[in-house]
Amino acid sequence: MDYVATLSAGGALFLIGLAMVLLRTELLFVLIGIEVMFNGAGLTAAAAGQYWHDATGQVLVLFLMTITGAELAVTLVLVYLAYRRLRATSLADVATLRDDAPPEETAP
Amino acid sequence: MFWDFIFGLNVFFMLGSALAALFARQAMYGALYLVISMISVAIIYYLLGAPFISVLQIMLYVGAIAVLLVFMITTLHNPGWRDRTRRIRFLVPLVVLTVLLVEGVLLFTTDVQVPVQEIDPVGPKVVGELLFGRYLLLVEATALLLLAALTAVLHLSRKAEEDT
Amino acid sequence: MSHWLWLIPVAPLAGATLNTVGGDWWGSRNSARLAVLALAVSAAAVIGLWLGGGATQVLQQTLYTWMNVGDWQVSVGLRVDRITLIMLSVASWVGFLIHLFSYRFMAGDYGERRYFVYLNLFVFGMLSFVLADNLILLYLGWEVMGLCSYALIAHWYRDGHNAWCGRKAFVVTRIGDTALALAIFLIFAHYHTVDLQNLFAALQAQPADGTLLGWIALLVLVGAVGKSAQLPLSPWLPDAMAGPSTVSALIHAATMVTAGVYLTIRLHPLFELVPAMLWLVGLVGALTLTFSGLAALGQYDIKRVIAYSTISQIGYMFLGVGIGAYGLALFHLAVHACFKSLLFMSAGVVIEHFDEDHDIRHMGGLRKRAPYLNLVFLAGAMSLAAVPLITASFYSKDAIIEAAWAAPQGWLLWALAIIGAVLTGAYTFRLYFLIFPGEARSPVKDYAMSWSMRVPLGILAVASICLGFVQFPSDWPHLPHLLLPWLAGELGMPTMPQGALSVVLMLLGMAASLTGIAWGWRLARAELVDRGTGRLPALATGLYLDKIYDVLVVRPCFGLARALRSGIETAALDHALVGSVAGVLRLGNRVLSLSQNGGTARYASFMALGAAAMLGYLLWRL
Repeated sequence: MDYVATLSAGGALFLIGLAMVLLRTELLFVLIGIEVMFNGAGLTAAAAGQYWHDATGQVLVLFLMTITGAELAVTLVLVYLAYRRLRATSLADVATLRDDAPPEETAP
Repeated sequence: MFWDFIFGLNVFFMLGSALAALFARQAMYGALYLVISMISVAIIYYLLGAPFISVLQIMLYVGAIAVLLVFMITTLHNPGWRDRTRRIRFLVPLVVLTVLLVEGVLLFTTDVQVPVQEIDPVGPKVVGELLFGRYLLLVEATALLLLAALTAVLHLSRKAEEDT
Repeated sequence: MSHWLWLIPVAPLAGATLNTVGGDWWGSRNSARLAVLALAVSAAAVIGLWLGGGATQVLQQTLYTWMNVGDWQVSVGLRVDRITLIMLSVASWVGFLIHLFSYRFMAGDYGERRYFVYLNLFVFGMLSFVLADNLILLYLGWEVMGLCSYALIAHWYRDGHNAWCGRKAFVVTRIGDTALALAIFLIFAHYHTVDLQNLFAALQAQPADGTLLGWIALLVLVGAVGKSAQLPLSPWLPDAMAGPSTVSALIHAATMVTAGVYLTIRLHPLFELVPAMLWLVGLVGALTLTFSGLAALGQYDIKRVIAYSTISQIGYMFLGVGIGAYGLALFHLAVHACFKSLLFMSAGVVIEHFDEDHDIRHMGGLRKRAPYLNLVFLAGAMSLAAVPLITASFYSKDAIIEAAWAAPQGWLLWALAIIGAVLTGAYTFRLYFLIFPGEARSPVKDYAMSWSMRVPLGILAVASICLGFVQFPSDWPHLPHLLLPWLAGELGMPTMPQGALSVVLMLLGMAASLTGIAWGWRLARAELVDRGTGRLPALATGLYLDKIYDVLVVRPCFGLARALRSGIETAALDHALVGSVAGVLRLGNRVLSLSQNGGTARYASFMALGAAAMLGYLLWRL
């Protein structure tokens, strides 16, 4: 079994997921990208665990899945709320925390 | 040899469907491409000799997480990917991604030395022993995390219902 | 009796503490009563001390160990020997009489309770200073006295000038305090003890290092000079008259200004090892007494005359110490306490009679209006001028003047002392003749003295006359010679001229004081026609001493402070340091805010960038 191929496949998957997060502006696509990143990380962990003949890799993947589930649930509710309250489906529409305006001059 | 072919095929599907999701036009397409990717990952897990998480991958990721995603996609009216002109704002992410890719390639070609081995399956029993033994506390913590997520979702969705 | 030694200083301390804590609750009159009672307890305890064997043996009580680090052993310990006994008697009995007088004198004052708190605290300071058996407790009492002196001089603080006078007193005495602290440090550094008895034993045992001991003695002298207002640290005392007259009576007659004298007497084993320093003490005293005698001739303020007179008389005590006649110095200290506090308290009443006017040119005619006051004031004045044979000061001060002849370079000291005696008579009776006889030059208010005011004045007047009778000159037969032989065990007998020389000197002393009195009468008459000594600016400003200090010390200090403030503080610290820090922070904020455009993708890119950087670093390293 070629572990190098597995590991590099996991790394590539992670990169693709990162590309989805950085380059797509729709909220749901960002979430999908995060899922892809998780998969990539899990694949790497499982490969590493199998290389050392240790079940710890599988345990790690299991925890990743659980945490992903929790995170996705909360995040989806947030996306739904953004849609309802802010009519926003894109990242550009939820930039309400911006701080790059020039500061007002305080009293001399 | 045969198994290598299966392995290569699955890697191709995994990466290919992820790339397709990257360029998908509608969210539903993206979700479905994600499902294909996840199934491929599950098969790779099995090929690695980790049947337990292979099945769990199908159950949890495809069966629960992807379903949740699809559910939400159908609830929201997504106007779709409008054809946006490529602007300069894609520059920085692309540069970062390229750098990471190059680094990854360098890493795997120069530093990673992993000899080829036989597969030694690690069954559910061994995993179970770990889960109930060494990582028991972590399991409990994760349960607590799930509880917290549940509470958060209930709370947030309750406020959402008040709007409708 | 040694078990009750603590009562002597603790009673006034308790009075002060109780009045601080509860004085609001029981009012200022009751605070006054409590204060007087506290002093009565102290005074009674000292009487008990005399009766209970203090006159014949040394009593010692150690209360507890205050600090104990290696060689640095400081305990709160009280020790009564004969020197201490005399100081205790003066401080507590005269202090009690002054408290009794203040009870009515300060009634109705807006700071009455505060006055009595500080007065009690001051007496505590003095008593613990005198009772201390180690240098640190002594310094504690010294400092407490300095603090209370400042607070009491500035008692009527609502007038800014009074507060300034208090500050001046504090700052000038501080110089002396610092010198004394340095002396204590030097002593500890070389003899590894601060206990007085151990120190004296060590001084006897070890060979004397002349330079070191000279420095220590000099520093102690500076400390004593500061507290006792001798040259060159005398300017604070005339300005300290801004406080109430009873404060002047206690602090500037009987107790604090005599602390310097007690300090030099207590440390006389140290001074005796450096005879040049001891002689310097005498010289300081002699110079001061003539200088302030001259200055007193030029004053129009009744209290300033008496203040300069105090400086002068303390000079006599320093002279006594300097020539080795410690017993005579103590004798004069006790006598001076009596008549000087009497004069101050009477001056307070005189000022009340003339409606807060201190100028003696506006006074006069008080003899008919206040006969009792006239009598007691005259008793005090006669004692100050050392009228022969019938006053106590004749026996103490003239003995010092006589003994000065027998000292090394004695002729100089004697000459200065005799001139001082003439001046003393002059300014004293210039003062008396301008206030009491003749016609009133401005309206005289009625001020009836209560019994609580008359009794202390009366007692002090009698003491001013009779106290001298315990120690007649040694060569007069069949008369009591009680004090000097009693003190001889600890202080030795002074060397006096003998035989015919002694008679000549004594007659000269008598002539000096009588001459002075006559001159004073003439000066008083000259003042009335505006041809008196008060016109002379040299005398009126105290031989320009204040002005000299202003130019030499005060102005440079303020100039330096101003330069430091504008130079360093404003320019460097405010603008450069603080300003630059603030500027950098503001700039940083502006720069960093530019990246916060609210775009999640951008934030994620930054995270990825961080990850790329880390990975790159790992790649480079491995």
